[in-house]
Amino acid sequence: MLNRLQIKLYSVTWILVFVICILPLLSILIRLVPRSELLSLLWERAVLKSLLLTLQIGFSALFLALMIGLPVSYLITRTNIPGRTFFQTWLLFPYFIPSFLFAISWVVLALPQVGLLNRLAGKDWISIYTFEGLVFVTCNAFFPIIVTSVSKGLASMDPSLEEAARICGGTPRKVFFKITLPCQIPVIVGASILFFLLTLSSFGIPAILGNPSKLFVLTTQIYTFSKMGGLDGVNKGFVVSLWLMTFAVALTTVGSWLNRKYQVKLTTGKASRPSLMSLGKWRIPCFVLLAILFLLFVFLPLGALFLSSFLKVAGVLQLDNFGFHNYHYLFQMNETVTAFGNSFGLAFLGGLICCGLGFLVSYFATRAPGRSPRLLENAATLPFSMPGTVIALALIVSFGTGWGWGGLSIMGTPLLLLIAYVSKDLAIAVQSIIPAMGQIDKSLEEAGRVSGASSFEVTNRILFPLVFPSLQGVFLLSALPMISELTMSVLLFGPGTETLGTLIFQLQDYSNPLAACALASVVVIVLSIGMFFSRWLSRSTL
Amino acid sequence: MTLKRLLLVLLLPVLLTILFFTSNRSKGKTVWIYASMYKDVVAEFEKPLKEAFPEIQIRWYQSGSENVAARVNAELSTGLSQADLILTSDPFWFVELKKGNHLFPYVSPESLQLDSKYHDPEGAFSINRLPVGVIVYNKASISMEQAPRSWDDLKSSSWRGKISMPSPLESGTALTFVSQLVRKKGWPYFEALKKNELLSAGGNSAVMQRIETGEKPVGIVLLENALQTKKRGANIEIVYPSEGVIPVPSPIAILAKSKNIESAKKIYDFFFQDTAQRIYLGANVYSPTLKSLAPESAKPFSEIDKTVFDWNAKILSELQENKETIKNKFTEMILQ
Amino acid sequence: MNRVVLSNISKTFSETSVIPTLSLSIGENEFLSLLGPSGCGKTTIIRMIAGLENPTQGSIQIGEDCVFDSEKGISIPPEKRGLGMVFQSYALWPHMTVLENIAFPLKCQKVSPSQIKERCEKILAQVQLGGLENRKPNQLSGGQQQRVALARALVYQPKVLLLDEPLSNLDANLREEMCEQIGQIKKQSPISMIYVTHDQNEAVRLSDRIAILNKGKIEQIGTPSELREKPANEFVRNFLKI
Repeated sequence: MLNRLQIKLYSVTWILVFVICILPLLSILIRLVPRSELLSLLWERAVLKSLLLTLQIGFSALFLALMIGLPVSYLITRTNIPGRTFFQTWLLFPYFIPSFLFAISWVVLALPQVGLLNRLAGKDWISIYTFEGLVFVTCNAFFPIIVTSVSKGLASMDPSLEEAARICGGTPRKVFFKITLPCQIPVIVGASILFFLLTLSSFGIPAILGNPSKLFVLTTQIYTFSKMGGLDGVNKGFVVSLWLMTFAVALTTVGSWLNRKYQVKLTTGKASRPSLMSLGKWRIPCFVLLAILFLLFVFLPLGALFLSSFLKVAGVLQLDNFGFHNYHYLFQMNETVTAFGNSFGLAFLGGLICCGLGFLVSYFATRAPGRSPRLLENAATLPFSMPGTVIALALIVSFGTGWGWGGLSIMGTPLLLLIAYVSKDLAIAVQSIIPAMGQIDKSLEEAGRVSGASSFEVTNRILFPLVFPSLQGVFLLSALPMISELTMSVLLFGPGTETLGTLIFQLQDYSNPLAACALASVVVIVLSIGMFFSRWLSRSTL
Repeated sequence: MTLKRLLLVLLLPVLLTILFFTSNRSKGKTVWIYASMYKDVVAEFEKPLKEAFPEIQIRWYQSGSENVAARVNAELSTGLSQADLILTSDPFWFVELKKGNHLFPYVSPESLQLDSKYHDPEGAFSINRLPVGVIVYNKASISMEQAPRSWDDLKSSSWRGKISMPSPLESGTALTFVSQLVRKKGWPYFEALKKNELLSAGGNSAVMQRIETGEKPVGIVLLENALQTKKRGANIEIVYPSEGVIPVPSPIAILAKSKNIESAKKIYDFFFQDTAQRIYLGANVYSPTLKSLAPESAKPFSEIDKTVFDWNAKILSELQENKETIKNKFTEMILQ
Repeated sequence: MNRVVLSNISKTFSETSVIPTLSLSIGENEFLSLLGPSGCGKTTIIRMIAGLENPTQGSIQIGEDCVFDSEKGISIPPEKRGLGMVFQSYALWPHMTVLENIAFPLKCQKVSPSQIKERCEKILAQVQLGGLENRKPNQLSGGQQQRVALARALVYQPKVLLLDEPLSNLDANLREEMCEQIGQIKKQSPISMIYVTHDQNEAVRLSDRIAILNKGKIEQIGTPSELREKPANEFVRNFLKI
C-alpha cells in the first residue's frame, strides 16, 4: 500500500504523464467521435497494404538486428576481444544520427549506377531502392538499441552461473546457448519490443528509400494523409495512426507481462565483474568480423556523409570539387548558432525531464497496487510508437492555440518543443529504468525501512543512488536523439526556436543539400565528443 | 547522488523554461505570417517590412507548403488560428479554405492592375508570385542536341529510366504538375511516361539531386530549384518546353479568424509592391506585377507568358474538385 | 599419488600481488581445507585450480595431466578439467528445473538419456531431494538449493570436488546437517575435496589436513591436531583461538 506522500507523488506523476502523453492524442480522438465515417480509412486497401509492409519490414529488421546484435553484445561485453571499448562506443553511433540522414548516406553509397560503392566496383552490384535495402538500413539505424540493452544485461549477470556450467563440462558455445542466452530472454524481449516500436514509427528511412521503391509503409501513408489531406488531414492521419497505437499498446502489454513473469534476479549483492571469456584462436577472426561490422554499419555511412559535406556539386568526385564551401555557408548563417543553442538546450532539459519523470513512472509502475500502474506504463510508452508528424499535429490541436480561449498559447515556443521531445522519448526512459529497478533486490530497500527510514528516505538514499548509474545511460539515450529531431520540430517551431533538425531539413529540402550534410557532419562530431566525454567521466562499460 | 539533490538541480532550469518561454502573448499589434518561402527569402523581407511597418511586430513561420498547410489545418480544427496571413504555392489548398469560409476576402489596391486570372472571383485570395515547372537535365551526360525540348519529347524511349519528378503524395507542387499535365495532355501522357519508368518520389529538391548526381539525369521540377542549383555551379541546363511551362500560381490570403485584419491588410498590400516583388525575382520566381523582369538567368516573362499552360479561376476550381481523383489515379498508375 | 599439485603459483591482479608464491599438493581421497580470513586468497586458489582464473606464474597438475604451466604455455579450459565445484551462491540456473540443473553436466558429456535419468535419480536420493525434480530453484529453500548444487557437482563423479564456502549461507541446524552430508560423501566416494572456509570448526571437523592462509601465503599446513598442538606462529594461534 502506498503512504500519503507516495499517493501525492503518484497523482502528480499521473497528471504529468496524462498531460504530456495522453491529452494531445485525446484531443484529436474527441474530434473524431462525430466523424466515425473516417474510420473506414483503417480498412482501405492502400492502408492495409502499407500495414502489412510495415510489419514485414519490422520483423525482418528485428530478425537481422538480433542475429547481429546478440553475438556482438556478447563479444564486446564478455570476451577478451581486442578493442572492446572502441566497439562499445562506436557501434552505438547509428542510433544518434537522425535516421533520414542515414538513409541519405546509404543513397549516396548504394544507388544503382551512381552510388559510390557501385562506382568503385565498376559495376552495379547493389541497389538501395529495394525491400532488402530498406530492411538493412532500418537495422543499421536502430540495432544499437538491441546492443545497449543486451550488453547491460550481460554485464550485470551473475558470473558464477556461467562458471558453474563451464566446470560441469560445458564448452563456451554450449554455455552461451544453454545458460547465458536463456537468462537474458527478458532483456532481449524488452529490447526487441523497443526496436520494433521504433521501426513502426520511423519515417525518414522509408520516406527516402521506400517511396522511390514504391514501398509505402504506414508512416509515409500517414504523412500523405496529414499533410496532403486538406482540412481534414489531421483527422485522417490520426485515424490511420490508430493502427500504430494498437500495436504499441499490444506490444508493451505483452512486454510487461513477460517481464513480470520472467524477471529473474540476476544480480547478486556483490559487486563482481563477470569474468571475460577467452576466445583463444577465435580472437582474431572475431575481431575481424566486428571490424567488418563497424565498417559496414558505421564507417561507410558516416564516411559518405563526411565525403558529401566537402563536395561543391553533388556526385562529382573530382579533386577540384572538394572544399570547405559548405562549412563556410553554414557558419555564415546566423541561424546556425541559434539552432545549436536551441537543440542542445532542449535536449539537455528534455533528457533531464525524461530521467526524472521516467524514474517516477518506473517507480510507481513497479510498486503501486492494482491495475493503474500498468496503465501508467502503457500511457507513458504510447507516443513512442506514433509517428512524429501525428504527435506534432496533436500537440498543435491540444496546446497550440490555447484551446480556444486565445489566451496563453505556447505555439512555436521552446516549451511546446520540449513537451513534444519528452513525450516521444519517455518510453525509452521507462523501458530502461523498469528493468534496472527490477534487478535491485527488494531486500536492499527493506533493510532501509527496518533501520527506521521512511519510504521517501529509502528511495532518496538507497534506491535512487543504486539506479543512478543506469540513469546516466538513460539520459544519453533519451537526450541525444532530441538534438537532431526533425519530424516534429518542422511543424512546431517558431521564430527563434529553430533547431538543428529544422535547419538540416531546410538545407536538405532546398537551399543547399550538401550543406545539410555538412551540418549533419558537425552534429556527428559534436556528438562524438560528447560521447567520449561521458565515457571518460564514467570510465566504465555500458 | 540522492533523489532530493537531483530534484533540486532539476527544478531550477525547468522553472526557468516555463517562466521565460511559455507565453506567446502578442505584444501590441502582431501579425503572424505563415509562408512556404525559404529562410533566406524570409530574411530578405525582414528589413523592408520593419522599415515599412515599425509599429507592427511581424512574426513568421516558414516551411514547406505541406507543413504550412498541415499546421494551419490543425490550428483551424481547434476553431482558432495563430496565423493571420498565409502564402504558399498550393492553390488547391486556398480553394479548399475558401470553400470552408476560412478566408477573409480582400483585394489589394496594389493588385488591381493584374489580370483577372490572378484573382479569385470572390476576392478570397490573389496570386502573389509565380513559380513555374520546367524540364531540367544534366549537361555532363546529355548534350544539347540530344536534350528534350518539349513535354512530348519525354515520351520518347531514349529517356527510359532517366526521368524523375516529385511525388504528389509528398509535395504540393507535384500535384499541380500532374493536374496541369493531365489537363493538357490527358492520362495517355502519363501512361507513356510510365512505360519510360518515370520515378515519382520526394520533393523538388530530391529531383534536383537526382539530376545533379546523374541518378535520373532528366527531371520535371520547379524552375526556382533549378536556378538555385545552377547558381551553386551544378552542370545542369533548363529547358522551357515548347508547349509551355507549368504555372504554379501561389496565392496570398488573410485568414478570417485573424485578430489583426487591418494590419494584415497592410502587409498584404506590401507583398504586391515593387520591393516585395523584386525580392521574389531574386528568389528565382516570376512576379505577376513586374512582367518585364525575370529571375536571373531565366527567360523573360513575356516569352513564358505566350505558351504557359492555361489557367484561371474556373480551371483552378475544376482541378481542385478532381484533386483526389487525379491523385488516386496517378498513384494507381505510377506509384504501384 | 597426489591428485592436485600446485607448484610455485603466484598471482598478481593489476600490480597487486595477491599470492606471492605458493606450492600445495592434495592427495588422493584427501579432504583439505583452505582456512583463512577474507581476502587471504583462498577463493583465488580454487578458482585457479578450476581454471576460472590463471596464475601469473607456476604450474598446476591434476592427476596425471598438467592443466596449466606458465612456462610451457599450457592452459586447459575449465570444461576439460573434469572437476566438480560448489559455489558459495550455489549458482543454480534459474530457468532450469532441479533435474535439468543436475542433468546438464551429463548432457555435456553426451551420456545416454536413460543413463542420465538413472544417475540423476540416484544422486537425488543420495542428497535426499527425491520428489523435487521438477521444481525451479526459486521454489526451493536455501538448504535444498545447496543440496542441488552439491548433487550437480557430484553427478558426473569427478575426481576432485572444489567447495567455495558452501555452508556460509545456512543456519546453524542446516549447517550441521550439511556438514554431516559432506562427511558422508567423503566416506562414500573416492574423491579429493578442497574446501574453502573461514570457519575453523567446519575445517577441523571435516578435514584430513588444513592449510591456514594469510595474505596469499600458507602459514601452516597439517592435520587439525598438528595445528592445534604445534601452531607455527602467532597468526595460526590467534586464528585457531588456541
